[in-house]
Amino acid sequence: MYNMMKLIPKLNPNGWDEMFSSKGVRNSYRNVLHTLQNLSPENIEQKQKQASDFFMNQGITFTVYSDDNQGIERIFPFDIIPRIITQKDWNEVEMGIVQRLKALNLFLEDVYNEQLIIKEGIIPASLISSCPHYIQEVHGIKLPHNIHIHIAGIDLIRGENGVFYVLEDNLRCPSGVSYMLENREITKRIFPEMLTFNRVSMVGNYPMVLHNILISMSPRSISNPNVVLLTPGVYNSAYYEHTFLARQMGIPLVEGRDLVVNNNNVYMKTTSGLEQVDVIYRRLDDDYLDPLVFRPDSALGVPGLISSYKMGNVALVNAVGNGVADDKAVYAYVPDMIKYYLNEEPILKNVPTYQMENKEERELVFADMGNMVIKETNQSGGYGMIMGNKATEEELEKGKKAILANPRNFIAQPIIQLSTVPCLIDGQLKLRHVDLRPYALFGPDGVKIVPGGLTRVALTEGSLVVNSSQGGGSKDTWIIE
Amino acid sequence: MTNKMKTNMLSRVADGMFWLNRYMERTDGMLLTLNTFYILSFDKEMNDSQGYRPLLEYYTDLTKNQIIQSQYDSNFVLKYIICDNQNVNSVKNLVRKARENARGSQDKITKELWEHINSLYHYMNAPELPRRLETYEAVGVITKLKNDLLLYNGILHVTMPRGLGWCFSSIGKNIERCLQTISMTQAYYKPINYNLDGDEDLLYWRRLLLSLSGYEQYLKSYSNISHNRKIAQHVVFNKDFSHSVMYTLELIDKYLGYLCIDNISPEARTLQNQFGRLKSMIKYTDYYNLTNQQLEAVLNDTETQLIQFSTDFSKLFFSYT
Repeated sequence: MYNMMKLIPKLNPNGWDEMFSSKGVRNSYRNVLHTLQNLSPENIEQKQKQASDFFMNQGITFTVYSDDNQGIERIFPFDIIPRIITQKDWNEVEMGIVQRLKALNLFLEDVYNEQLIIKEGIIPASLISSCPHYIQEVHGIKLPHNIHIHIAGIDLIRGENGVFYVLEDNLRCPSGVSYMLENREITKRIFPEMLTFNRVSMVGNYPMVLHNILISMSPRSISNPNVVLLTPGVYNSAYYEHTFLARQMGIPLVEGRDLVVNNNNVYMKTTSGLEQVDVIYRRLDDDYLDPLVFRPDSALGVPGLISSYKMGNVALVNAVGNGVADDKAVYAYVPDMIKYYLNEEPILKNVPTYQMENKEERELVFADMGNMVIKETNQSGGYGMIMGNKATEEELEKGKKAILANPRNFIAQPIIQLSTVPCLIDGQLKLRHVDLRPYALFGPDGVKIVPGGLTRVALTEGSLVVNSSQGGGSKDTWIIE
Repeated sequence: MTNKMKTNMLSRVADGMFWLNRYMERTDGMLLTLNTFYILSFDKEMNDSQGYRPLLEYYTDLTKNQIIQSQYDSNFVLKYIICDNQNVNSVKNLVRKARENARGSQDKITKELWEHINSLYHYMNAPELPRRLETYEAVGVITKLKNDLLLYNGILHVTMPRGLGWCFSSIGKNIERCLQTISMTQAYYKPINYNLDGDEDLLYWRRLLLSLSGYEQYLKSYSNISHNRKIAQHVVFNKDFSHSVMYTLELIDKYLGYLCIDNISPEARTLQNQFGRLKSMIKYTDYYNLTNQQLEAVLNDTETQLIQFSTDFSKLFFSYT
């Protein structure tokens, strides 16, 4: 027997590992560890290969180009050991996200209409007016059911004490949900008995819930509205996800060139002429949606789309202008939003955040750069980030200069030791840091969150950067009793 | 099929499905021809004046001189046809283009079909493939690819819904197949000046028939003498031979009819009339009394008109840009 217990990695006394405590394996992982202990190295290798083949054959890949311009397709790394969250912990996460989304949605409704939260001095007006994602063009807009955030991906981390924190809110075009669903599909194939035995909650109904919400957003009261998914096209890194969701919901996958606006209605170009479109689940950033309003060089969008949207002839999901609510500088005010709009205490904590526009906070950060992570407020995917404990002196100095040149563009947060989950690396269990992105859907019946999410893994030893664009991998996420 | 058929689909996706099937059919025909020629090249006794020339002339853009230099060079031909990046019509490039079209219409093709195309693409891009073609493994590679193309057609038939996408796919496939049959037929009649009363033996015609999957059916259907006229009858006019010009035109006509049922535009009517004339040319040709010149003219005219039809068909249904 291949006794993996012998290979249990040394725990970090200052960190939180989700499988092991100082007293041994946690209850929630006991069955999984037992199964792993009974696998031979050949078994493990075979299961890893099975997972790789599954992703490769499905086309869940990204392309790496070599010198001769011949693309080589690679899969995003998948670790076969699941990440487990108990139902008790999940309940708190779920309640916290529901609360947060309600507040963020009320904020968007407010900030694009009366702006009471600014008038009452809860959020500084300059913070909103300086946000590049605040879209003046949609000020005063009224949306079906007053919903702005139909789909959200909330990034959570677990700190040194096991407590969940919100790291950031993704309220524009959050991606990765197909990995959550496909990770489960492959786990069903490689560990069928383990899933059954542990009574893992189902995530597979996500596309159905989403489809119902999309239909409910139709401006026309017809029995079968035309819902489409708008993709930037086959070269987009998330194209697989777009095809996956379109297929799962049975809706057409369209590109900007498939749509045309005529008389303020949106139509798709079909083999028998034009057909009106009612709801667009767009996976295209605001900037590219309409060259007449945003970037004039965008060939991905549809001229006239925003005009049609403002007239209420077509619904866009998510709404335009959500970027103001997931701006990293605005993030610091979300607890205040929760108190202001809901009169409640936040269930999920924010990571302490320093505004670089604030001189005192900036100096505090400059004095302790080695323990800080600096983030650009309008970047995502791990781009524009400086990890103070990994950066060179030169990089830190460069960062300071950039901050001083445009302080509104940066925030800083203390580096938090993300929790770890063991991964199978070279046939051994090794601790790697993880985060969690649950996906929330907001429809006329309220907020629904499928029990699970995407666990992203920083595969490099000691790294805290989990983004797939920075070499991260993923795990299946189980919610169990 | 037509009663419940949805009456439209995205033009771009229809275009994608049309070309996906043209590319896959071209790959299929090319592999079948390559396999036939390669296997027959081992028969040293065979009096073969053409070598790989019909294959290279129709499926590649090599110059006449290059073809003359390489028409008996199996090593070169195998690599050039299967995996040469510079050959726009190599199997590798055709599969890549087919996959691009499949990706663009991924929400309208079945998961099974997508996975098959995708796994074929990865096989073609394996770095060791060119080296394997230099070894005794070459036969295995060609056989595997040929079987993959058969499997593609099987998956297409078993899993794809019979809707608009099916019509566009079938028209693309049959235009490609018809053009292949015409060109390969020309390649064997041209050297003998389209002589329908000549006495070329079965060994001569076997290469053409095997390349079109029609050898066994020919043997079962026709007497074993005076092949020249019967071969033309089989590959051009036989309604029961799945690669014949007549059979493929019948299928195009059928699916064009489905597509035009609800389309009352004058352009659709014109297109149907145009195709009707093309089909009639073959249908009402008296092949028992066909002259050599008439055979040449029928093949040339059909090819020209079919290419024009394909262009006009694209204009009517795919003009989304």
